[in-house]
Amino acid sequence: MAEVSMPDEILDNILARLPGKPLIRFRCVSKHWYRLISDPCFMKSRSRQMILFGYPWPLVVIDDNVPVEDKAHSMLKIPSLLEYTKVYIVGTFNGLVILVFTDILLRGHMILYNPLIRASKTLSVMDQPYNRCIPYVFGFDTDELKVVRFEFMNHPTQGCVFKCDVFHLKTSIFLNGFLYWAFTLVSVGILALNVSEMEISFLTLPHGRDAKKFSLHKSDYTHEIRLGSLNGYLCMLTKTDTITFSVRVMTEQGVQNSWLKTFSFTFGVEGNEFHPMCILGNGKILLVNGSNQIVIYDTSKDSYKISNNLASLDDFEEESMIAYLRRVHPIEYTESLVSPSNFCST
Amino acid sequence: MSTSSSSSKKIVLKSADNETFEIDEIVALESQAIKNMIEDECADNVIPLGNIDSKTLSKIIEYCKKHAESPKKDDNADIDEKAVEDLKSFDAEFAKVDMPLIQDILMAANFLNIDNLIGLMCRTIADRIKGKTPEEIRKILNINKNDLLSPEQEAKAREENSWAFD
Repeated sequence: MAEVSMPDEILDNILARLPGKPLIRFRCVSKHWYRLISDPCFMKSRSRQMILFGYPWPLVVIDDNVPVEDKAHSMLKIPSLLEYTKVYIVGTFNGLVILVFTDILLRGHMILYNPLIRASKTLSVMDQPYNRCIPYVFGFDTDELKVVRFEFMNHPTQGCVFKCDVFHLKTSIFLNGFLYWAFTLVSVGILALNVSEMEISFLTLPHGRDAKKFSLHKSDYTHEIRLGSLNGYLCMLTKTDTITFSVRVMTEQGVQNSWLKTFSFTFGVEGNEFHPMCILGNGKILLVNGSNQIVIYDTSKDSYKISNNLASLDDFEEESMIAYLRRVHPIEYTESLVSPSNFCST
Repeated sequence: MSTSSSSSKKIVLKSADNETFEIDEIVALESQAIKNMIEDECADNVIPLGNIDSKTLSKIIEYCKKHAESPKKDDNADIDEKAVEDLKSFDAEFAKVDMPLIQDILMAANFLNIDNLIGLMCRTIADRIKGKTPEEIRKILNINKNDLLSPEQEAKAREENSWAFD
């Protein structure tokens, strides 16, 4: 029976289970394979979630779908020009990520990048004076993508002021409504931007936590706020002590008193402390410790998986992520073959 | 006549090379295709499977038996973790066969519509080929030689994504 050729449905089933690297390579197997793999519907149904790490290293991709023993596929370093450049990961859509360079050399360059096909396109070069904090946030509107840059500045007479710039990218994606981001510099809280009205509001953090912990003492955990989404709600991951993590959701969009504590868990021990990095889409949470040990904690099963150490990658500049915690914003994206050149900035 | 202590209904499957396999109906029901035939009452005592040889069929029956015996997820919310582990290690052992047989089992499982087995075989193939080169894939999976990319197209695809060929 081996001479009977496989139906496409079966071949798709096999190909969909492959990591990105062999998939890209196997487009060369035959014309038929090339067509199947290049079909946008195939990549859509494959829907493979990947985790991208940036700053302060070269970009690193973690594939949580393969066992950590498979070193060739569970963690990949992305070389090329990005290797020696510090980047801030702004957001993702259609398998593309938006990156902003923060290095002296390319500071202010905002690019669209597809980590699977390793193609990039510069969207804009921003004039970027040195400011205290430049968080970016990114989201969808009915027919366009918006990237918002938020700056804190020390004004000689007015004290601390902020400035907001919006960049539009033409495309067509569904509505999201609000954009949120956490700020920890001048004070601690969350900024909410109503995209259709372009109105910014400040949300204070939920009460019920020790208020002192939100002060700006060095020993607190205020810089460890991570936002994400859980079942369509804005969700916030914080630490309540050295080993306890707490997850809250905001049950009403933009209403600051609607925070609901959903669960908490403990991880790590005194002396080997872990820090929250990112809320993944499937109830999993990414944590890291001072020796760059990455752990994916599954809140639904109360189990965890330890990734290979970043230092196991070739030519890896080992520098503890903790020093840069505030700037390390890993992201989860869905792989696609979409070319960045299909999008234009205005 | 039956020496089996169980009074369950038996189904007879006949392979392409005319070997017959008598199995409990519950085992046969692992196949959605056979289940449909039985429900529609269009299954005779003997079900001929003209495109599945006896070697493949006996493997398929081995799989269905084990999975039919194993507690189902919807039976009980608290499934025995040991049973789940046991089934996992059975699946891992089951898949330790050569590629031609894996492919035969996959095609037969597809014909008989045994979802879990299709998944297991696809996963096995994916795991085995993920580190291979395109040339090796063509050989392993008997890719039609008339369907290759032109040398120019192939060179371009390799050049554009050279990192994937390291």
